[in-house]
Parts: sequence; structure tokens; C-alpha cells
Amino acid sequence: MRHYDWLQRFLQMVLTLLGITVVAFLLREAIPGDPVEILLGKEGLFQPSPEEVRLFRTRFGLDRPLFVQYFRWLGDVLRGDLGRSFVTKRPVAQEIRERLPATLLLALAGFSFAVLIGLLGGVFLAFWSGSIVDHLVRVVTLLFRSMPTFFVAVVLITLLGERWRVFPTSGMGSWRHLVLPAVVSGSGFGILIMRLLRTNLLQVLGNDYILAARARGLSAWKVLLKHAFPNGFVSVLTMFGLYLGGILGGSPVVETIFAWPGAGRLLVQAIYGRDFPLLQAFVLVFGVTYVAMQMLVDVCYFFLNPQVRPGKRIV
Amino acid sequence: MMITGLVLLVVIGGASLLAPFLSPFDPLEVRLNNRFAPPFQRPHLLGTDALGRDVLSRLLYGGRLSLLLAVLSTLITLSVGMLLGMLAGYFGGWVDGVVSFVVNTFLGIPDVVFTLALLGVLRPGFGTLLLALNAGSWVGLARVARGEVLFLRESGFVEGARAMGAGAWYCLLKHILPNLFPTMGVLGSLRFGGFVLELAALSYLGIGVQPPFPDWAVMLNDARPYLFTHPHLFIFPALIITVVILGANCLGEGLRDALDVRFQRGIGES
Repeated sequence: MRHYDWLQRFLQMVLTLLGITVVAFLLREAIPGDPVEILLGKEGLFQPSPEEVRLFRTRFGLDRPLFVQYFRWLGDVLRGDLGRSFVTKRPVAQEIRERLPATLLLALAGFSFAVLIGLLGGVFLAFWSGSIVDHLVRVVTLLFRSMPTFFVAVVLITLLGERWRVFPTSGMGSWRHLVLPAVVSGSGFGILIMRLLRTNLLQVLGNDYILAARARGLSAWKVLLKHAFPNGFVSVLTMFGLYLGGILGGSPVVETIFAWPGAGRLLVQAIYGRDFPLLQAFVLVFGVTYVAMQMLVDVCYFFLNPQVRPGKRIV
Repeated sequence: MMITGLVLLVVIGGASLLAPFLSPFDPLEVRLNNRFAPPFQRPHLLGTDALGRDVLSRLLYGGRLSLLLAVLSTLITLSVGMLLGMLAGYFGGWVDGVVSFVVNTFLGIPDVVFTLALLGVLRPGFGTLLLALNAGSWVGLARVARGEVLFLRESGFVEGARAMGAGAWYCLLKHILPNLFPTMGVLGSLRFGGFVLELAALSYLGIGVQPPFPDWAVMLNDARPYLFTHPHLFIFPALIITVVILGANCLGEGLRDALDVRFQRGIGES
């Protein structure tokens, strides 16, 4: 039975991956105007003749039916060929790969910051739930969640970067360059974790075994950390996976504001440059990563709680 | 909390709607001899910006496009998500298979990446923005609606209606749809706040609402260089965006608490 469940989950993942390739492929069809004319026209400032356009089509198989084109394209993709950028003429796979280390670094830094404030905050708020601090934090986080990221970023840049010159405000270099973007990109998720963990902990704390542990004379802190935390943590883990999967695409807004040389900024630049192959590759690459990440979460879940069947997460 | 949220949204929405009657000046009129007028003085109650344009008028007009886009997007997302979720949940079988496949596919693509890719591929404009905002957002709602319908389908009143000869569509519209409204109301208002947030970020990056059309996020971008010398240019639009999203969040969470009260007990009491 269990093997069957995993097989089903795996097949579902393969199906989803295929779906993503179809969506990415169809993006090309959504381009207004003739992509061939755009491509040839961009080489220089000349208007391609109808003969040239026709030749190009035959050469690259663009005159074949759509599904033939799709499978041919899929073959290229599976061999790692995602096409060339319209703007730089370099392979887009290479363009994205070059940006990944920076994005990964920022993602991990932001994630660490989020986990730090999320776990600490969640536990503390659960311990002091109902107190003035709890209410105050609730109001502040509600306000904070209602502010656009770039707004927080601009205020931090202006205060800590330009006025007091504590941290550099753009580019990548020492660890000091990392602080502001990491705080900005991680704080939203940190708050989410904080609230989720608090709610979970409070729910778990209502159980009888908690009362029993307290009756045996264990301190409130010990009960909270040893008995309630592992149970309250399970659904937080789901969020971790989803977040990490999503942020690998980079945080376009944060990276653009801080001039961080990551994938998110590349994505925004691809929009300005109307770099179609690059945009298509983005959907494909980060769709696949995201799905793989979700699968990973399911596996982790299984090890944490073998009763949970694949695909059935508790959120 | 719910009421507070609703009031905030209605006030700002109403003010934006009535902008042509309320605003004291033309939001686009440039007066270079009247730059950086300080706020809280007549005739420019909230001052003027770097080009001498009246900030109050720009604020009143600035929400019109974003709010309209956000409202339309919320409606579209809710309708599409609810319709597909209901079909998948009620009919099951191959309908469910197809809808679930599409939902899983779109869930597999990070929302931000998909929205930005669509904005880059399609011609810029109102329709494109609408499409890009909605492209990935309906799937979450469809999934929730499907789950709810699966549960509702087996409940006594639906079965009773079926036993009395009611058709599938009658059951869906008359018995299941009204029971979806609470959940969808909560998700819809939270989604509305999300749309305003996304649009603001897009406009700030220069790929959302285009200047010179007055928009809150565009105003924020314009105010960047004058953050210290003329903070009012930044503070007012920032405040108003925050209040709109705060209103949506309050409404959504208030609704959630009112409809589904969970017990909460602190460790101190246990």
C-alpha cells in the first residue's frame, strides 16, 4: 500500500513536470507578432525579407505542427539546451547558472534570518500568549505584513545605508553587503513562521499529555520545548520547503532594489529587454526546482511522521 | 476588526472613486514655480512634489488604477477558482483529473516568476497586467474550493436534494455555492490585499502602472531622492498603501475569526 502511494506521488510529479514544460513552451506562442521576425530583426536594424523568414522557419522546424515542435524542443531541453538569450546571444542555461550562487547565498541568508526570528519569536509568543507583548507583537506584525517589501527596503537603505552608513546599500561583496537584503527578504517569511508556530504550539498545548507532563512536575519551558515543539513544528517544515522552493527563483524586487547580481534581477532585466528565451527558461527551471522541492518536503515529512502518507500534508 | 477593515477599504475606495469631484487640483498639472510646497498649508493641503504637482490630488487619483485592477483580479480569481474547484469536487472522475492536473502544474511554477514572465512576453497594458496577476493566483482557491465541495457533496442536505431528484447544477448552485462563500470571502479579501501588494511592487519596478499616470507606488519611486529633504512625498503614499492592505488583511482575518472560532489557550493557564 505504501509503495503504491509513493509510486502515485512520483507519477503525479512527473505529470506536473510535463505540464510545466507545456506551459513554458506555450509562452513562446503567446509572444505578440512573429517571433522569427523579432529574432531576425534584432540582429541588425534591417527588416528581414519574407524569403529569409521562410528559410529560417524551415531550418529550425518552425513550419511543422505545434506538437512536433514541442517534442523537438523538449528533446533540446532534456539535453540541457534552453536556447540563446536575445540580448547577450549566450546560452540562457549558462546565464541563469551564473546567477544562481548569488541568489542561493541571499536565499540562505534570508532563510536563516527568517528561521531565527520565526522560531524564537514563535516560542516566546506561545509562552507569553495573552500578555501585552503578545498583543503588541501581533499589531506590529499585522502592520508590517501590510507594507510592501520595497517600502521597508527603501527605509532601511536610507536610514542604515545612506544616513548612518552602517551597511552598504547595493552590490555584493563582504558579509555586510548581505545584511540588508537578507533582512528584507527574510522578514516577511519569518513573521509567517512566528505566527504559525505560535498558533500550532497553543493548539498542541491544549492536549492532555501536556497537562500530564506538567502534572509530573516538568517546568512550563521544558514542556513547551520538549513536548509541544516537535508536534507544532511539523507544519512549519512544510512552509520551509515551499518557501525555499519559491525563493530559488530569486526575489526580483529585493535583488533589484539592492542591485544584487542574482537570478531575480536577471528576470527583471529579461522583462525590460523582452528577452523571450530567458523568460521561458525561467518558468521552466524554477518550476522544476519548485516541484522537486515539494517532493523533498514530502520525503522529509515521511521521516518525521511515518503515519503521514505522501501528498497528504498537514497545513 | 472586520468592521475596521471594511471601513478603511470603503473610505479609500470611495475617495478614489470620487477623485474627480474631491481633488482640488489637476493631478498631472506641472508648476515648476511651486515645487516642494510643505504639507498642511493652504492651498496644497498635502504639499506639492518635485514638479509642483498637488500631492493630495495625486493620492486621490493614484489608487484608481491599482484598486480597479485589484478588484477585477480578485473577482476573476474567485470566479475561476470556485468554478473549477466546484466542478472537480462535485463531478470527480476525469473532470477532477483534468482540473487537478492543471492546478498542480500551475502550483508548480512560482507565482512571481510566472507573473513576471507573462509581463515580459506580452504587450504591456491593462489586460496583460490583469492576466499576469491572475495567471497563478486562482489555483490555490480552486484547490481549497475542491476540498470543500468534496466534503459538502457527502453532507445530508446535498444528498437529500439529490434524492428528491435535484440535478447536479441545481445542487451546485443552490446548496454548495452558498456554503463556499464564507471560505471564499476570507480568501478573497486576503487575496485582494495580496494583489495590491504585488501591483505596488510591479509599479515600483516600472513594469506595472506606467508614469506619468498618478499611482501610489510610482509616487513612492519619484519620492526616493527626497526622502530626507521632503519626507512627506514618501510618507503619504506609503501610508495609504499600507492602510489599504491593512484593511484587506483585517477584513480577511476578522471574517476568518468570526466564522471559524478556534480555541486558544496559553501555557500559563494550563
